Amino acid sequence: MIRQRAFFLIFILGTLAWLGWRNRSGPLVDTGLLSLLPSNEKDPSLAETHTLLTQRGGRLMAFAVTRGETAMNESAGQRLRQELQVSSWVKLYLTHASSDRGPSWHRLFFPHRYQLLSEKDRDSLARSKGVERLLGRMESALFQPSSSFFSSLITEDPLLFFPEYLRSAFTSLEGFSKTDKEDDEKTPFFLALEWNFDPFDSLCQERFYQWWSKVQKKITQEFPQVQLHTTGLLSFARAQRIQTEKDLFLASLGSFLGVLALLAWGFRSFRSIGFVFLPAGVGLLMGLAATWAVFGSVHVVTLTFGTTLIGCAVDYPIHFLSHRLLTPQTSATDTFRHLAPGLRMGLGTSVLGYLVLGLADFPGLRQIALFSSVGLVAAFVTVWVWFPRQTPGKAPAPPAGVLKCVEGSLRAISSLWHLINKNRRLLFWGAGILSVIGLGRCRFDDDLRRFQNPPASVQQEDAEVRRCGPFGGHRFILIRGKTQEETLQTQETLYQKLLRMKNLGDISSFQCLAPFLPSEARQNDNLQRVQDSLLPAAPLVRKKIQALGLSTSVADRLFNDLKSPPASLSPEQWLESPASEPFRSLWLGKVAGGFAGVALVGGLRDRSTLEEALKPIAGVHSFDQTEEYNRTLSRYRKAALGLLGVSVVLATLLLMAQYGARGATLALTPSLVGVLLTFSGFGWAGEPLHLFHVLAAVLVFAMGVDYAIFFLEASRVSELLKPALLSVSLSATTTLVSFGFLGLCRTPVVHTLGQTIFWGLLISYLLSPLPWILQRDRAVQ
Amino acid sequence: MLMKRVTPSLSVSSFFKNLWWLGVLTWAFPVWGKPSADTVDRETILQDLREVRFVEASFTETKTLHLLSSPLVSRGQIIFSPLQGIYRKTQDPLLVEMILNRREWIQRDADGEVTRLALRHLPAARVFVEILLSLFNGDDRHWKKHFDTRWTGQRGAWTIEFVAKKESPVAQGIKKIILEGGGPRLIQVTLLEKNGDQTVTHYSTTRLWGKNDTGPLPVFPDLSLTP
Repeated sequence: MIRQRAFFLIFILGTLAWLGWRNRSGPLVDTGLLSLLPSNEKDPSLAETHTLLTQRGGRLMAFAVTRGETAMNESAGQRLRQELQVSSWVKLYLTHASSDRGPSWHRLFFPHRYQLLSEKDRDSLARSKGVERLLGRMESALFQPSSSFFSSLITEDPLLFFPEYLRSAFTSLEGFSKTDKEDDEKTPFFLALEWNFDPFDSLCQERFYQWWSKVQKKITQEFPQVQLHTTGLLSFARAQRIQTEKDLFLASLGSFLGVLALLAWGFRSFRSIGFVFLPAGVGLLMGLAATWAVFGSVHVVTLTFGTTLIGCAVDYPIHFLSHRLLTPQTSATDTFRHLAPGLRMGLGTSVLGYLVLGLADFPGLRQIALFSSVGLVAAFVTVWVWFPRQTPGKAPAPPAGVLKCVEGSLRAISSLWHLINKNRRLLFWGAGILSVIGLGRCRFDDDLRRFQNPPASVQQEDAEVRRCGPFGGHRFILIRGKTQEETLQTQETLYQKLLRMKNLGDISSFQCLAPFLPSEARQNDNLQRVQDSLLPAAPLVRKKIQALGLSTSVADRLFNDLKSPPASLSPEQWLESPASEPFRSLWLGKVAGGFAGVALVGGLRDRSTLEEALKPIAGVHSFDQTEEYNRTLSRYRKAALGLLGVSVVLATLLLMAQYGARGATLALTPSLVGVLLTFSGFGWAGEPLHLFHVLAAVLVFAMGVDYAIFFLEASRVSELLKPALLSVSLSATTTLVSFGFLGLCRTPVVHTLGQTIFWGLLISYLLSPLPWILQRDRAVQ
Repeated sequence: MLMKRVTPSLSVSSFFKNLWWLGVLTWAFPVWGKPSADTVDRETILQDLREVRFVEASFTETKTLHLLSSPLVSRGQIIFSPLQGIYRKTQDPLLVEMILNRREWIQRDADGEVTRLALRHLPAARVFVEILLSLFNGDDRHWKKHFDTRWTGQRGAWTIEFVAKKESPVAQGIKKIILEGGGPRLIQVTLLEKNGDQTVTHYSTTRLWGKNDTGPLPVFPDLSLTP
């Protein structure tokens, strides 16, 4: 045994060292929901683009200046922009041109003016008298009040292809900005940008908010009439983090003190209390190591759920120590030998339940299964290897209060059962009908937004900013191709589709790169059209130019440029230019399996219309981040629910092998009733169920079965009854205290886990003496 | 989540440099005033301007552009309303109609082809529409940002010179705007550009509607309809 302990200790230390070494190679906690997708359905290229979009979406932030006159909002906004410039946190401004933007547009696009035609000019050139129409436009421009603008252009672009291209490109984007429609005197200032830091980094969050409160103060002192607002994932993430930290701190403190008080009351020994937490610690360590070793990282969902394993793992030492306390005459080794069948059976049913969960092809569920199974086995092995040797000799006499309490509880259970037995039919049918109705009222809602509960102030800020400008609420369309050219051509097909949808009113706005980054094929076609139309009509063009009083050099330049045009505009040139800044985030560039871009659609009337329109375009995929998450959560929930059923069946078979059909039924009833009544309660309360309710049910089932098994064991060996009652009561009460505090938290996921486990386990615990009572009654009869 | 707003292709400074909005200023400068004042009283003129509800006039415009060998002459009608904006119809030598308001710029050519552009995409044009309309509301704050003004003559025959301030982005394109009026009517607007171009717009048969005038008012046509 000494050798076993030494080996186990070396193994634990080795694991610790390995974890430390692995942790140095980078963060091993995965937070992306996409990594939870089933591997066989995951399209690597799609997954990468989804990840890119998610990351970019997360780094966006928007600011608004409101309440002042238009000019004042603008001035305060420019002041804010200066402060942002100094901060050096901004990767990209998505709105508001930099001072260099205008000339940069000219520098980038003007040389390619014959390759970047508007739809209108393409049509004109394709029609008869197209050249005459273009000449008429030139003449009309000179007589316009805006002729001064054209006079600077007309020598280089007499047929005005360039201003027409710009007008057309920007007109396609109309409606995308809500502020297009505003014309009042208090137009707010709106600014959207992309940070160059991770919005989930708590240090960055705090630095930003310190800066923001200073800037707000400074600007409102300078412009007292204005109000400044901001929103973005950073605001929500920070609010959620602060709330979760606060909740978990209070819950941990409360549950720690409660558990400590209970254990102190039960064991009256610091050493014993230390022993209680040792197997749980080893279990967590081993679970973490196993998951890292197999999956390469641990998902945050696994970690959250895995930590609740402590509730399960502390049960083993509590059982051992309770039995030692109430059977002091028995040696530690014998105590463990008496306990082992029950502990093994409890471990077996729990591990079986978790392993079945891992059968699904969902990496998340597999992680939870591995983490929990390894953690529980490690906790059990810790008790098995260490406890009998660490607590040798005779145990101290049990405290009188504990004995008194145990005996009182036994009497209370007997009286209660006597009462229940007298009205068992009424109670059975009453509770049964109410439960069935409650279960019938249960509904599922996998909406991701249910996991968020941001403070009202953050929501108000968000609403205020969204009122001022286009931020969020749009649908992504992914455009993918094997080559850059293929992606750009697909983008052009999509553009035509979206333009038609906008004209039909199926969408209110869209943003697509096609006019700003045309494919090479399109550019060549445009140039060909211009050359085919103008070169043969050179005499007519020259005549008109001369008639208007323009120099002949204007016509010479036009035809020279047409005969020797520059190479097509490439994505690389476009990306390098400051002109691409407002749209750069729409080009994802090289991704796994090719290249990708994004289009954004706003004001979609009917999702199916868009899906239908996109169907014939290969390489285009509509993507709604929230819907995608909701679908994933729904699939997880369904899989977890189905596998919970399978694990119940397998646990029944395992228990039947040990205790027979009746014993198995008695062992399973308390936990199953616990789960069903809890879900029924949620049905009556009208609270929709989601993935975390189901995961909590798995835990209730695993722990509830353990409680019943100990009473079932006690019905076989009468000396085990009092220790069983003490150990089950202590472990249940400590677990209830912990999860009860979690249930009081406002953080939705923590609240759900806490609430479900609390009610489920409370019912399981109250019913857990049932196997002992029924077996006793049967023996009496 | 991934959102952005479109910004215009032309920055404010380059827009001013390119000057297309200047023509707008040259069509619509009628002044509603009270006759027989002996000296120019700025406040009185501004007060008079507040009374303007509608202006309708014929115009003859002569553009002397440095890139053309001979001046361009055009004729037409304009309607101005401080509330609705400006409607300008060039009839000779070619037909072009245009509406400019706080929200957008709409043009319909002889073929009935309509071009629209939101002023959101033309911030400088928006600023100038604001200036123009605010002038007719008797509020000269917008002008003061960009121009020094010189008011000379008498109320019956006055001249206002708007000289672009050096520090203003306007100065990159405009040198001076000269408004000449007689009594309540604006007679001529001369625009001098930095590159030497000059636009002289002469107004005649001006008809004004004050706030107390009743009767049929001029109507802005719907340019999106084919004439």
